[in-house]
Amino acid sequence: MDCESFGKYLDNYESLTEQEKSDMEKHAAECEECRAELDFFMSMISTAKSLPKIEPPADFMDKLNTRLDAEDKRVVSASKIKGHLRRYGIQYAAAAACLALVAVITANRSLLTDRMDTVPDGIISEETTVSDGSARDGAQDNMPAPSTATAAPTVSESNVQSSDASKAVPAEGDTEPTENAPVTVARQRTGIPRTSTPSVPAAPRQTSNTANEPAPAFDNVSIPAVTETHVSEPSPAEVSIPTAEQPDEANGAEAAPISSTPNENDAPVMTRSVPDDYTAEKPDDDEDGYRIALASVVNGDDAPETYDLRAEEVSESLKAAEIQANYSLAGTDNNDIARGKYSKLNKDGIPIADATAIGSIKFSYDDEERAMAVINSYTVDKEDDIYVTDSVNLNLILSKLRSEGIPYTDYTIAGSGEVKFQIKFK
Amino acid sequence: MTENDLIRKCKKGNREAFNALFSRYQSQVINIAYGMLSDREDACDAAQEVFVKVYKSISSFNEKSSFSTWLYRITANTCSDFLRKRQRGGNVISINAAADDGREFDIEDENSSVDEKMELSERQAAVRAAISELKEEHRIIITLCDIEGLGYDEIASILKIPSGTVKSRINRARSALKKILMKNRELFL
Repeated sequence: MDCESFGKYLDNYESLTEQEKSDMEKHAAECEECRAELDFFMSMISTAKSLPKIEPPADFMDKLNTRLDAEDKRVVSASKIKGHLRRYGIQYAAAAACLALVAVITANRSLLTDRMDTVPDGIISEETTVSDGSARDGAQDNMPAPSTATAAPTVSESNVQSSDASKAVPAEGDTEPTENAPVTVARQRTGIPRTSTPSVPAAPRQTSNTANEPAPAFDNVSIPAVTETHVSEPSPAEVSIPTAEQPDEANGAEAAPISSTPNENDAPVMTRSVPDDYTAEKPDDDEDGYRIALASVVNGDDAPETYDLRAEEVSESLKAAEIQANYSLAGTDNNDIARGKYSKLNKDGIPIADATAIGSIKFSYDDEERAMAVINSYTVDKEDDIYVTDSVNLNLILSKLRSEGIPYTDYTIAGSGEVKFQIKFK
Repeated sequence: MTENDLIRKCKKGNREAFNALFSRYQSQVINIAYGMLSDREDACDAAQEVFVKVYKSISSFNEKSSFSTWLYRITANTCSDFLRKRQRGGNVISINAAADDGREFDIEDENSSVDEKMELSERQAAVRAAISELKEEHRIIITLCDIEGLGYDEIASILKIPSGTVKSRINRARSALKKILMKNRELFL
């Protein structure tokens, strides 16, 4: 045995046969350097084996029983709540709906009263664009002229809660509403057609004969979702109404009849409470921010397994619902599972799908035993069905396979350092 | 009462049976957690967490494997959670292994001289600190194999990996440990 082989044997000490260990001893007896290596190694292992045990604290069981008592109470109260909800769920839902309606009316109260104050005849008929509590300003100059203007007095709507002026200026030529356009609130209190500056998205569709049809108030008001729902930022094209800073200009705009019926192509309406785009909730470049749930999941009759979950798109709520329905959560303080698409992370916190590409080494079924014997004789870790080693080791494995006459196909080592591979038989 | 009797009673929700079962295993669970977490307080917290999980999910234990295997798997998973949280929180645990281990070194070998005991204590502290620098899968394998002295088959069942992989992982973990301990090499010669 030479020093190089000795080093390799030392790295694989646990896998060595008694004969191989004896060979090492013989070499160590003749080589001082290798002797020192072996002594260091053996001393390290014996020290690890000698590490003293710690005793449980005297109050360990008392503390544990306190926690178990709390656990019992939690389970009882949870089942009580479930029973209560089963019995009174409909009443709660009705109450919630009423509250939501009150909230919408309250939120729009100032809008309503302002109009009452500014319109001499008490007539209000205009469109206001509301998007998740913040309407967007619009530049009146960029608005297309309505095609069927009437001679009614113009009332300009300038009640805007808040806006980002930089986002508010519509791009010229952008007139089509997008799916994420702000919600349109159409109101009309009289049958008299009147004019105002129309919203840009709605204008092309609001030139028809609907002006005289009274529409029920709030008939297409989008209620902001109670849970984590956001309407995404509207594009400039969606911005429609004049800003508070531009009321006079708006007043001078050419009039258009009011649309009083919702158009199916218009902005989102009540039925849409979960927008497709949830980017507003994603923190920028903060991976920890994505990792919103860490739960130990009790899976069937197996031990609790840990799933480190990462929300990628919060709009996909199904997966979380699935997890909550099918598993009981037993995590500690990070149990909250939010809506989202979850991917299992590897030990470094990287989604497994994003990890380095994994190649496959294919063997014939006839060679299964011999191939596995060769592979297992080297230092190879296995994570599920993926083998992990380094490129040097894998080269050794491949050359050993070749020298043993075990054919394999379709595999080339890509790069150096840690490599992962699967083994397949055909 | 046999372990199986206790488990049967636990499945019926008998708290006394739980207490009896947990008392049997508290030391092992705390020490596996200590091996993984290198911190006495965290180890006790993790052990509490383990037993709460067992309490909540004992009905799902179908006795295909031994109770200890199931329990140690939960322990390993729980400690992994602790490590990940610690990593995420950026917490650095100061290893005071010498203080922890030193209290008990004289129980081990009454015939050793004071110097020898001191040297052993230093080596133990160095090894404990080095283990805390290992990556998670290496910590658990060193803890189960070298510190707790479990067999390959039991380790394979706990970690759900083939026995052959247990050996190769031990080899890799020891190589990594050796690398870390190179700076304290003189303690081991």
